[in-house]
Amino acid sequence: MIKEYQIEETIVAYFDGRLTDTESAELLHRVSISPEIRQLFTEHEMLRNMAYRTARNVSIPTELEESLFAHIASLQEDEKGIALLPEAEGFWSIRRISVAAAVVAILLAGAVESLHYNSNEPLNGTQAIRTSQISGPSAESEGLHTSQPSTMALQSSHVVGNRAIALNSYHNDGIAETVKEADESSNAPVFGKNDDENIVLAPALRTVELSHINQPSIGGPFSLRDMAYTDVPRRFEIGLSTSSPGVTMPAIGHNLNPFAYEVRAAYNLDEHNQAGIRVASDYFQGLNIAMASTSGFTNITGSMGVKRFATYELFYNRVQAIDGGRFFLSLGLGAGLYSEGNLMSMELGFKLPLGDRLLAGVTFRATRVHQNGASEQELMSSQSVPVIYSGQDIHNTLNGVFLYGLSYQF
Amino acid sequence: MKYNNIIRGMCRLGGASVLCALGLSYSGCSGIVDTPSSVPTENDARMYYLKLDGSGNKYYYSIQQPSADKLTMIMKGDYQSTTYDQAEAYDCQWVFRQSNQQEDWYFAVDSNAAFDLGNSTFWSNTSVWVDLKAPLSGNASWSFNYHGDTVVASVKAYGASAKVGNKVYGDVVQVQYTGKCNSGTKWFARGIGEIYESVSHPYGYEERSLDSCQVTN
Repeated sequence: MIKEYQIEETIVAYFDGRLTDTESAELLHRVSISPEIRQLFTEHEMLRNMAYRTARNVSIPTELEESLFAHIASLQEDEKGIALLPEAEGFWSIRRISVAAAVVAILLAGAVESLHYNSNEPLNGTQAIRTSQISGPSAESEGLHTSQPSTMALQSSHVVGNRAIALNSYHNDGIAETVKEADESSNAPVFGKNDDENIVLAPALRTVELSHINQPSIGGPFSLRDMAYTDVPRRFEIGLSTSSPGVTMPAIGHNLNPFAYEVRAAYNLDEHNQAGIRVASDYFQGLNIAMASTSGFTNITGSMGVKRFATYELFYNRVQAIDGGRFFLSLGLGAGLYSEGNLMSMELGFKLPLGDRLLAGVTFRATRVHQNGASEQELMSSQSVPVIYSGQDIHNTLNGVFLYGLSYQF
Repeated sequence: MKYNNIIRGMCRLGGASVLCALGLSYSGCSGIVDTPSSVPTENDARMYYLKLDGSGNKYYYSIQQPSADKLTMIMKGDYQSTTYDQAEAYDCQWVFRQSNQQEDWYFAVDSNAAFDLGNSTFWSNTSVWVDLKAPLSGNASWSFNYHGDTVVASVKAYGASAKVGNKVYGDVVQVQYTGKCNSGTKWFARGIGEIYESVSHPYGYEERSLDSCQVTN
C-alpha cells in the first residue's frame, strides 16, 4: 500500500511538472517495465485529460463545487478510518474510489452544464467562476491554505478566447500548481511547463479550509432526508415488516414465534413526526382457561401459551435524521386493539435509505398486551360448587421482538 | 463524528423520549405485567394439615355425601403418646349435628407425612390413608396401601386458589388419589388443613367441605 501510494505520488508529481528530468526518466522507465504502474500512470493521464476536456466547456455551479469538496472531505475521513483495516488494501482503495467519484461528479457536471450551455447563451469570461490571473513560472499563491493534507481537488476555469486553460491541483503540501495549455489548437495539454508567452487564467484559489465546508446535512442540497421530505413532498409511507423470535415477560417458558408480519401506512406530519396505522398478525403470549366439572366440584386451569392474533394499532413516530440523512432513528408509541384485548407499544428503530424512496429498517418493539377475560377471582366467584383454580392468572404481558422490513415513501 | 451525530440525533428525539418516559411511568403505576404465581417446595407436611395439636381447635364442615349433615371436629390433642410410622397420633372428636352421633377419629402427623388413621375399627397398618407426604411440590406423588388397594396420590395443583363455601383460600394443594377401589380428591389450604374432600370408597362416597374453623395455633 505504501509503495503504491508513493508511486502514485510520483506520477502526480510528474504530471504536475514537479519532477526533475532524472526523476521523470526513472518514472517512465518504471512505467515501461511494470504493468501495474503503467495502468496507474494511464489512469492519471486519462483523468487529467478528462478534467481538461470538461473544464474547457463547462461552468461548475458553486453549490456543486462545494458539494464535491465536501464529498471529497467526507471520503477522506472515511479513508482515515478504513485505512486502519487490513481489508482496505484491496484494489478499490479509498483514494481510487475518491478519484473515481470525482471523475463521475465532473462528468456529471459536464453533462448537466453542457445542456445548460447549449440551451443558453455562450459563456464568456465574465461568467466564469471567480477567475484570477496568474503569471510567472509558479502558480503558488500567498494565502492559499488547505488544511486537508491528502485532498486532491480540481478546480477549473473557463477558456477566455482561445488561448489558455488553467488547471489547479492542490496537493499534500498545500501548494497550488498551475498547468496550462499554450494553445487550444493543440489538443494535447502540456502539464507542468509554464510558458511566459501564454496567458494563464486560473480561478481564484480557495481560501476556505475544507474542514469548514459543510457536510451534506439536514437542509443541505444533497441530503437524503431532504430528498425524502422537501425536494419532493413525500407525505405518505407504507411498509411491510416481519419479526424475529421474541421474548415475553413474565417468562413462562415460551418464546414468541418468528415471522409475525405487519402492514403499515403512515402520514408524515412534517420531517420529524409521523402518524399512522398498522395491521399485524402478531404472536403474543396469552392465557388459556380450561374448566372441568366433576362430581361435586370444578377444576379451572389457567395456562399460558403463544397464540397468533390480528392486531390493529395507531402509532406515532418521532424520526430523526442522522449524519445528514444517511440513516434515521425513530422512537415510536402505539396503541390498539386485538381480538382479546388491547395493547400499547413502544419502539426504537433504525432506517437506512436504500434509494430515493425506499428504506430498510430494523426496529425493536416492546408491546404491553392486556388480555380481557375473567380473572381468577371472578371465575371462582361465578361457581356455586367448590372450585379450585390452578396455574396462571396472567392478563398483562410484555412482548419484545425485532422487526425488520421495508418502507416506501411517496 | 458519526457517533456524535448519532448521540445528537437521539437527543433530538427528546420530546418523544419524555412522552415514552411518561408512558412507562404510567404503566409502572398500573403494573406493566402480571406476576406469575410461584410457591416453593414445602418440606413440612404439617403446614397444610389440620391443626391437631391444639386442644380445642374446631373445624366445621358441611357434609354433602353420603347424606347431608354438619360435622364438627373438635381436636383433643395427642393420643396417649402413640405414634404411627414415627408420627405422633392425635385424637379428634367428631360430632354430627343431624344424626347427633359422636365418635373419636385419629390422625397422625409429623413433618414427613400426614395420616388419616380412621376410627379405632379402621386403625391398622393396612387401612391408613396417607393424606400428605413431604416434600410437597407441583409434581409430588406417593402411594400407599388402603385395605388391599394400592392408591397413588399425586399433587394435581400446588399453590392454587380455591373457593369453598363462599370462602376463598390461597395456597391450596390439590391431591388426586387414584386406586382400583378408592379414588377422589382432597384439598388442603396452608395454615388451615383440609378444606374439601370428595372420595369414593367401596363402602360409600364421601364429600365434605369446610365451612369455618377456630384454630388457636
